[in-house]
Amino acid sequence: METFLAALSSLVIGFANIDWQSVVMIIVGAVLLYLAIAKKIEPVLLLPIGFGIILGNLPLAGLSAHDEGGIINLLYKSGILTELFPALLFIGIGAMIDFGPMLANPMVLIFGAAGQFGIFLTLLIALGLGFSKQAAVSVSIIGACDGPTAIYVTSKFARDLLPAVSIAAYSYMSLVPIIQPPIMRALTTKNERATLMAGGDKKVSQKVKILFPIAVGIIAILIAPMGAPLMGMLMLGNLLRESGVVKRLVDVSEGTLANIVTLFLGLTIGASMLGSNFLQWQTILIFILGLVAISLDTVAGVLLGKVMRVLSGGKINPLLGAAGTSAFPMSARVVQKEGQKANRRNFLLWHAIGANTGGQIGSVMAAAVMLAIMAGMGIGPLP
Amino acid sequence: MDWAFGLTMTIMGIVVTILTLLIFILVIRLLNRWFPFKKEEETEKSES
Repeated sequence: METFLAALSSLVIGFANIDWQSVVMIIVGAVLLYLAIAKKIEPVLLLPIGFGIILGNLPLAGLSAHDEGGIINLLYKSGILTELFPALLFIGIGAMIDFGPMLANPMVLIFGAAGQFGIFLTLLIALGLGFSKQAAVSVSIIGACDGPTAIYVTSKFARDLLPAVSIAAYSYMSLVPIIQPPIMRALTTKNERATLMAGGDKKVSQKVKILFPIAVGIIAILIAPMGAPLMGMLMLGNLLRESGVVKRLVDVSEGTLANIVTLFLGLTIGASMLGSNFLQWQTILIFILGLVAISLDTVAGVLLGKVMRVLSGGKINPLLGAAGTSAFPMSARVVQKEGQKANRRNFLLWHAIGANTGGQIGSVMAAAVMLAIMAGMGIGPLP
Repeated sequence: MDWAFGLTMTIMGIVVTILTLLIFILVIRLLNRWFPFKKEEETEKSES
């Protein structure tokens, strides 16, 4: 009888050890799975994150990112703590992006700078709300609208915030079509939104497309070496694409490599979301600050767009400023849609894609600059 | 709140990001001037 009871207790030990926090987190994981599968919201990322949360919060399974020796712990240590996953993901992003529209009209790069203002303004708000310097930097980077960049910075300075920051960053990227339009409409008149833009068929030499990632990679890394892994890998991926001689590597980078890293990244981030570090008021605050950051990015971009419209004598549509975020290509599509609502003859997509790819470079640069300034102030990354 | 840290980060962050992107704009303009697009490139592309 004793043997029978011992065997029985070993079978229910999981149920006996589950606590309310784990149950809540399993429900959170299930909600993410629902959003990914039923609503198709960022399924490539939310599905592994959702299932990772469930696995990580099952008691005694040893599958949380913090369970020493577990398989997900191995991925966490080798991919997140070393910052390998976000860097590898950037090779794929670089291989996917065509910088052509931006190279043909380089002034749109300035929108890529304005699209990062929200990061720095949110940093001030986060500090005012009592976040530590490292945590404030990590939270404000959600404004980069760029998942891998947010993960890279947060894994350097505030690993306990990594789950909340990464979920917020990816969620808001997919919510850009909901967040941006009201701000764009509030800050512009119909007349401004209806502004037609010429020059959407300019082309650039292939030599320029090849030399651009090399030149920008070198300059960016010389200015802010702390961001070298991000900018270096982004430009490597783009050089592979534009060189035209390594199609196999391009296919692998934008396909298999990006997919494998996304799977491991999502699973590991999900499995690091334990009830004890996620079910806190701070998490809600992080989500609010992330929304503030992205909204401020849009405000700064559109306001700069209005200034540029005046300076150019009415040749630039101010909506273009909203595409200066790194949410590629969502922001560009939003700009096209809003522009066409105001004027059916409006085709802003080509210009908006240029500003959007500028935002991609801007977000990486802003993160690299932040890291460089932090290092200059003697605030180094976590060991 | 550490105002010195916050303001330094905000002002320097915005200024350096803008300056860097302005340098990139200059680099792109120079590249476009040195290597202007030629019609032949389009023909080559469509042939390949």
